Amino acid sequence: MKTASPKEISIADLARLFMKHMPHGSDIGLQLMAPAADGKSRMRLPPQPFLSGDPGATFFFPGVLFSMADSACGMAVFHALGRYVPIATLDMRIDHLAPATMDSDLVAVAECYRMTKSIAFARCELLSGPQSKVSAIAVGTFMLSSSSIRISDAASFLGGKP
Amino acid sequence: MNGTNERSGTDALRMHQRIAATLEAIPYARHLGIRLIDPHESDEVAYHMPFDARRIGNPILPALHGGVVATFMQVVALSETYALLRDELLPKLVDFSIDYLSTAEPRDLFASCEIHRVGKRVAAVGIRCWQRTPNAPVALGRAHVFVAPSASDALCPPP
Repeated sequence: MKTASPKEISIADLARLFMKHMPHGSDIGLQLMAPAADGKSRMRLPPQPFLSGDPGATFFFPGVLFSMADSACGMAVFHALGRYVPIATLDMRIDHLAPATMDSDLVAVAECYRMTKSIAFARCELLSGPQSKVSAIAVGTFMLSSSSIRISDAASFLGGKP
Repeated sequence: MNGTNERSGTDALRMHQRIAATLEAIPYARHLGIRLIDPHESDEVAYHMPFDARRIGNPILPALHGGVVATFMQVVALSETYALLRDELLPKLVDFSIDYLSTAEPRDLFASCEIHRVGKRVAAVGIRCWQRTPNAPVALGRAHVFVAPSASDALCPPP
């Protein structure tokens, strides 16, 4: 068995690996953005006609924002943990404040605002349009798995180093 | 008696056609391959999303992405609400909430929905999503769908 030290692969590296190997993320073109000073997790999604909810491709379909919010919140929980713990979304709610127009990239900004031994609470803002207006707000809870898969094992499963 | 059955049969067919037209008009629903289950296969209106490896969110488990499950349920809620409306307006999602009851395995998804209430402006809809049997849902959802005219209608013609 490989006995790599957890220090070899950081949580940020694992996040990049996870994004790279997440088929749904690749399918819709989801991109992980560089970590910012505020510690929040950010993702970007460029518009493509098949992601729209209307025949004229004016607006993103709401489910696309949901996928982003789920992924970005999960990423925020990973970062808050600082180590690899498998997580599962328990529930998530999204409020659509305005339709998300397809004239610019969608941006998700997520943070984990409370962590207990077994539950993490996260929220996400989805920004759309040239003015980056808040189009939707999502709130979710995540279960932290009790199983202990090591970060190095998870990384090697995902194809080694980023 | 017979006449009533014929009429309800016609209504069901019309409902089926409207739902199918809505699914066709939503590019992302088409991308996911979401379809209405043939009325001959099922007594109730039910939806099907075939498995595709591109829908996986966790390659380690593996499991379908939670956002894909949620999207499928939103498509169901919006399409069925649209099919009930007399106005030719695309309904809009106000809010959506989901409980994940178990991991969505890498296999087909099914869903049905129940319209709890249709008001003048908002409809309350519940959605059930399952894989092996409807009695063991993988997720339950609820949505508020805006059904009145809104500012974005001008930009977004109905199907």
